[in-house]
Amino acid sequence: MAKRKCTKEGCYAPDDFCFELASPLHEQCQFFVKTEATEAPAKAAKKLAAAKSIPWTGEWLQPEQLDLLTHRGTPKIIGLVGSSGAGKTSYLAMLYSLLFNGKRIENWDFAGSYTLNGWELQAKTLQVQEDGTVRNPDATPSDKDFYSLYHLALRQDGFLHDILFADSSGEVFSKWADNVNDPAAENARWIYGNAHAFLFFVDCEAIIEQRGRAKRDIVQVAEQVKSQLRGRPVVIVWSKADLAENMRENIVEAIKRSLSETFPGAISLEISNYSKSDSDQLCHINNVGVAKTVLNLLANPQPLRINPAPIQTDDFFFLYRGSNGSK
Amino acid sequence: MEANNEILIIGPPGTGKTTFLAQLYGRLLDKKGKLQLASAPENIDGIKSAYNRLTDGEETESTPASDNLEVKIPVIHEGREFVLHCKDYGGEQVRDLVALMEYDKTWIDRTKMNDRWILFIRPAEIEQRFDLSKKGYAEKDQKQSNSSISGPSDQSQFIELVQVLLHARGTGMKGLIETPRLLIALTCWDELRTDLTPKDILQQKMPLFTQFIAANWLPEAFKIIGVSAQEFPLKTDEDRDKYLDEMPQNFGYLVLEDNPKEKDLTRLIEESLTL
Repeated sequence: MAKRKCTKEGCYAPDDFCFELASPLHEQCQFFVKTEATEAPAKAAKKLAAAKSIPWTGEWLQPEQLDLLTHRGTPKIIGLVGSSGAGKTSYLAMLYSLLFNGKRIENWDFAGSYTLNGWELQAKTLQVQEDGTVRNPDATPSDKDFYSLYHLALRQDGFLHDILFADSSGEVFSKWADNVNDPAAENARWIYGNAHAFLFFVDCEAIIEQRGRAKRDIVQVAEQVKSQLRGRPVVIVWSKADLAENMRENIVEAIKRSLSETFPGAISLEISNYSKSDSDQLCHINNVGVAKTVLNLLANPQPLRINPAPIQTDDFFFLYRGSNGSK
Repeated sequence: MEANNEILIIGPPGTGKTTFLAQLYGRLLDKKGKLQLASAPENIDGIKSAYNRLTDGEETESTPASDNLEVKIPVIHEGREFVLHCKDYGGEQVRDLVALMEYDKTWIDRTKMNDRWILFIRPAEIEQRFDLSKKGYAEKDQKQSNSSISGPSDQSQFIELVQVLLHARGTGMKGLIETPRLLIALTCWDELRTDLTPKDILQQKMPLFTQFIAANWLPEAFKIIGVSAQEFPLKTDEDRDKYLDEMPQNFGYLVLEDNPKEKDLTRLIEESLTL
């Protein structure tokens, strides 16, 4: 419905009191009545009077929209990290397609989503067209203000968890890896600062094409992710793993060694969008497996091990251990 | 929590709400089913035209989008008398809830006052998606051809619809839902030509939606059944003659757990009332 506004300058009726009459009776104000003629009656035909709009639109969420979820718990953010073209968005498209067609994340039941249109939009890139081809997913915009948070409400043991997959362009992450203060990497900084867990993408195709050079980028991003990690879980995802056999072994070994030093104990999974049969290890099992692994890590956080620092002081105030300590 | 006996039938256009109501009225008049007519309703304007068309062996017409009709039918169920409020409305209203992402007072009241929802889904018309997760391998189209890509899938639309209706009612999803009780009726069952159960069909046609319902409702607060209100399409003269000769109240069936071909259509209401 077209909203009526007052013609008088500085008056915000009907959102606020009428400026002229200083009362809520703006309907009686001469300036307000004038605007009535400008109403578009055609719009009212479709949209019903006093319609209440729904707080979500189905499109992906922005960071400032997270209060939509906070009334029922703290949403957990999973940051997708990886260079451009590493398959971060394709991974999300595949995850949704698998769920859409009946695959399940073990112990995590799908309980809704406020970004269904966003998921659908990506899943369409995997749809097989009439000529038997699939569309190439468009590159995620590298605009520094571009955020796309994909929401999944998942129920585990009766508890509802709000999970957000934070996707951004790989380019931004490369910029951030070279300079964390790069003004063009605002969204990468936000994801890194706010995510509760990370999916770290290693692009098998890039390793085949760029060989040693690919390692340089991967290691650079990995080191930057490690710097302020504070114990947040990382799952390493080798994407396009259907091509894995074409990678040079020595490069793979070097990357694996480097990653295991950077993220000790992190789980690695190989995924692909192509499958030989249902269910295919790389496609059906591991794509869902990546989600399952990171969700389980989020649900069962590793306890922080804090080593008490020995106190190097002679001050009696700090040395006092109470009556028990002196015994 | 005790749920009231107010029933809301929810269904997008063409899922057979009007046909079902007309057939239900015929069964109530017949007084052979679980639910019976207690006394004549004051007016049957809302279902009159559909009821008359079926008696003539014609298919019902779609209800105009802006219609909101209500027929109050006094019924007896197991010795208890109460009024069945049959609301008929244009199914476009349901589609608009998701298309425009807004609802009006009518829908807030509908979702709040009715503790028993019956969701009509026509499984034969649910479009199936064919993507890489099913096919296995496809060439990448380097040209990025923009060949016609359809809108959001039916499955996501149904998930969104239930989310929107729960929001309108003010029911949160943090805990498992007990009220509104939800009966999912898979309509035009005859089109499927299947021996599978309604639960299997819903899982096959819309697995993510099925998971969504099961993850949010208490197991005893929802149920899935099949409905064929008409039993067969009224396209040929031969079929129309059957309706004229044997009368509409002898056609139509439900697919229930205890009976895969239950002729008593009033049991759909009973199933909803006993959830």
